Amino acid sequence: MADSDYLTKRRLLIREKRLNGIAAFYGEAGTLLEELKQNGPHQRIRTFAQETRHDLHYAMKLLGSIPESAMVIHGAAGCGGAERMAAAGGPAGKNWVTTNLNERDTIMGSDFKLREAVLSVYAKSRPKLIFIIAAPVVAINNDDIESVLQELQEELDAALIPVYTDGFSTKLGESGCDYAQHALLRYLAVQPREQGDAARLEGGPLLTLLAVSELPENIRELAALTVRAGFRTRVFPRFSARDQWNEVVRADYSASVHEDESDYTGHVLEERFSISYIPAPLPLGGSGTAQWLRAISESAGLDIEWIASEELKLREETHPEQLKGLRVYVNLPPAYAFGISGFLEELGAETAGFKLPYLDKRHLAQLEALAARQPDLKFLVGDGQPYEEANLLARLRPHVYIGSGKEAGCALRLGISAIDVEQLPVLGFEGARRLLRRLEQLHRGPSLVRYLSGAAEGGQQPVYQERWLQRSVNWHIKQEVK
Amino acid sequence: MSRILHQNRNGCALQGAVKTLAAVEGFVPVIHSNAGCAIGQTPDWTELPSTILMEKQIVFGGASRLREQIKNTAKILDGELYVVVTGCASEMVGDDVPAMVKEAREQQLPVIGLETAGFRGNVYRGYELSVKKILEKINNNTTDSPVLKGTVNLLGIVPGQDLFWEGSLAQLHRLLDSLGLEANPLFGDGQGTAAWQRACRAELTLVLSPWGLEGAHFLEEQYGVPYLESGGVPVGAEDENRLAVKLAERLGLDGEQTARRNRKALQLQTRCLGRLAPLYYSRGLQKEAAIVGPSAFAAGYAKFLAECFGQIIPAVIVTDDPPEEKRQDIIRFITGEGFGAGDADPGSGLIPKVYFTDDTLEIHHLLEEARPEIILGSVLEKPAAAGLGVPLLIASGHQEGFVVLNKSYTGTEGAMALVEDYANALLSHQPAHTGDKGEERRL
Repeated sequence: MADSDYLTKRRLLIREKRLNGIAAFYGEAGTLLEELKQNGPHQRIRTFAQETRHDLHYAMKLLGSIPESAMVIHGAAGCGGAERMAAAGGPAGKNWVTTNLNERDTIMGSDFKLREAVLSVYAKSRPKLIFIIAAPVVAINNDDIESVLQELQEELDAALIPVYTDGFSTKLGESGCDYAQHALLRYLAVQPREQGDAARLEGGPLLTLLAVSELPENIRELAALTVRAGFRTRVFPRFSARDQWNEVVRADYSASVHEDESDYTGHVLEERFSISYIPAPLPLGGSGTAQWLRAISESAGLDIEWIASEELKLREETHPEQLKGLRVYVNLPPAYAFGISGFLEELGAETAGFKLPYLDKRHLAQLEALAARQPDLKFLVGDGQPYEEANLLARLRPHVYIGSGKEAGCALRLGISAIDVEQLPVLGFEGARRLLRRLEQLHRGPSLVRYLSGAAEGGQQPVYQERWLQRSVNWHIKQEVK
Repeated sequence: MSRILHQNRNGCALQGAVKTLAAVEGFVPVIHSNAGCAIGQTPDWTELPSTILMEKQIVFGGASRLREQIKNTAKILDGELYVVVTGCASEMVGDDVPAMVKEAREQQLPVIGLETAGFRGNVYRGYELSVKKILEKINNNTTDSPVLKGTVNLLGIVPGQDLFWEGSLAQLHRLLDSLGLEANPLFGDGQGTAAWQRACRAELTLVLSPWGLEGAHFLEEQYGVPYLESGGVPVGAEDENRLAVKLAERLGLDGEQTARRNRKALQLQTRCLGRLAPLYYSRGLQKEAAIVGPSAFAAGYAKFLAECFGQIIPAVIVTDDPPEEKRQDIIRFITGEGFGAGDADPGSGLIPKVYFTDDTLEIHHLLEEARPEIILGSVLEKPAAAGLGVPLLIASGHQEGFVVLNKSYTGTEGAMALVEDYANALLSHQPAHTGDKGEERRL
């Protein structure tokens, strides 16, 4: 089934079925590779779990970045609470409303509240786009969102775009990025197309740079690099205003910053809008960024000579053994994890282990290369689940933890210096420099880590029972019985 | 009937329960719902146990998943009480949580269950439900157990929701200490199961907002512990001293000790405010200030700023949606003591207009009508402040873009911190008085 075939459906197939995605595994690289090769890895479940982000969170994070837009969270009050919005990128200044469904609404239906919410959020700021995010209550009740929106669309000149998240159909919460993009693509697919090829004739080739969760500094630098390569570049969908979308769908090429998050969009743009999608690895580290640029530039027949000099410049600022002896543990999505590990290993560091929030068939080649070098390298797969990670880290004892968000903070409490990639832009050539600078800062300023790890008086009490820490890391990961 | 909510600042009942439980040492919330319900609700939300219900459990029921989760939580996380809190999904599908809880208790696990689906109400309702249920279930005392003389429970400040909850409880602890009393805050540092078991033997419960009343009523009906409503958290020496006098009268404390304590508080406040006097007019520190916050704090801020600091309060917007039957009391607490309640009209500048709404759009309209010169509110008031061109002092709501550890505006010391932050918010908002080249501008 081509990716664009999904456009006829309200919901995109979950990653477990579409990509053989998994969210639970613990073992060695070699074992994981074997499973991935034979009909995909086994689906597993956890018999003890801790809170994680769900698809709504990732969808809200992406859609909240789009200018001149508003959000209606269609569900109970808490689904659209300020702290949840803050975790998804910040509510201050954003226009959002919750339908605030109560017990009666869950029984009697919620059409009128949805209508009221859309009209209210439209009246407040006349946004060009209103995203209606479905929450679990509405999904369980199978409330009809489409009919309400079809009626309202005739009254309003904002685009009303439903996003069919539900919080429980996939274990891979990052799928929320997919659902949000699916909603945008469904909207784009039915818009009237501008005639003529004006966009394609003026200036260099037009590139749609697909960005979903990247920090603004990352996007700025990567966009600037593509412009230097000779492209005219439009970013989509993160931070992308509705006014730019006409050019986005008339581009010559598209390329992902992070393929895991946006290859679905790239494929649909190719199949439905005839925009060539250029596969390219994550632009992380000197050689990673250079490979990304070369892949994109060569596909468009642009000059690539200058790229080598940028790569050389970065290499001359580093030394192959400057990180010798450093044991690094990485908890990031696969492309980031493998990219960072590869970059730091070039400088003498050693990878102690990986934790990936998910893994799927797209990562086979990278896993194969890694398993060939280090078949015994430990892999833990799962979003969150700090109890497993505490167990694993106690065994691996890395010097540095590279992760994101709360998990990086948890590492600090375990006495391990950490880098939070959600706060530190690590992509591109400048990103590589930032990463190295940050590693150096960790080395120079270890006092809080020592204090919290209990070396100083008043260290924190352990969170987990000692008997759990003695058990195997995957004690609560079991094969799913269908 | 519930209304749609613009920029909901008050979460849901499940989130209130989670915040409440996470603030007690030894209490372990076990969320029975789909993923994501507790995102951002506590600093360590990723460590909260959750059944993470999937589609299969939504369709076929999640009771067995809950059974497994309870059993394994007890093996991984140390706890003195495990509390199952249900979300919308598990209540809509009708999982038999009481049966799973009963099963666990029969295996000698200390487990209770709370019905806290998001559609049951906001964060404050979740706190209220949790407090009452825990007090019901946790106590093995009887009405014959001796009263702990001098012990005072503190109810009504919602942990994790009221911005300065921890610092405020600490300040109240110090106030009670200074009166020779023993505070039983129930939440925060060092507060565990023992504190909750002590609650039913306390001499008094101090109720700091309407959300503490249900728990206080239970303690009174079941264990004869009387309660005293303070009308909010005391801010400033006058409010703190009024509360001290009420406590002294109620509990038969040494009047002279109380008076000495009160004099010291007033001396501290007078000294601090006196140091500010040279700047008060020269830097334009007398303003019209609108207050936006929950009932526990809004009254205290308004009364102190108007009563002691010469500010004019055109509007107080109470944001925690208290029950209708308590709203007149709240208005009375704000306007009754200290404002010289009499015939002054609301909005005259002497007595503020008091509004009740949790909808951020309504709050912004009210602020636009009131046209204050400074707003005390939450991060969600940033656009309103920017639109009016006035400074915003964050004094309520959630933490976003800043950190609160142990700070408070409670009591006398807290009020001096409030004055500092209030003055600094005004000063940093004022345009510089020098020209481009640093020369002084003169008229």
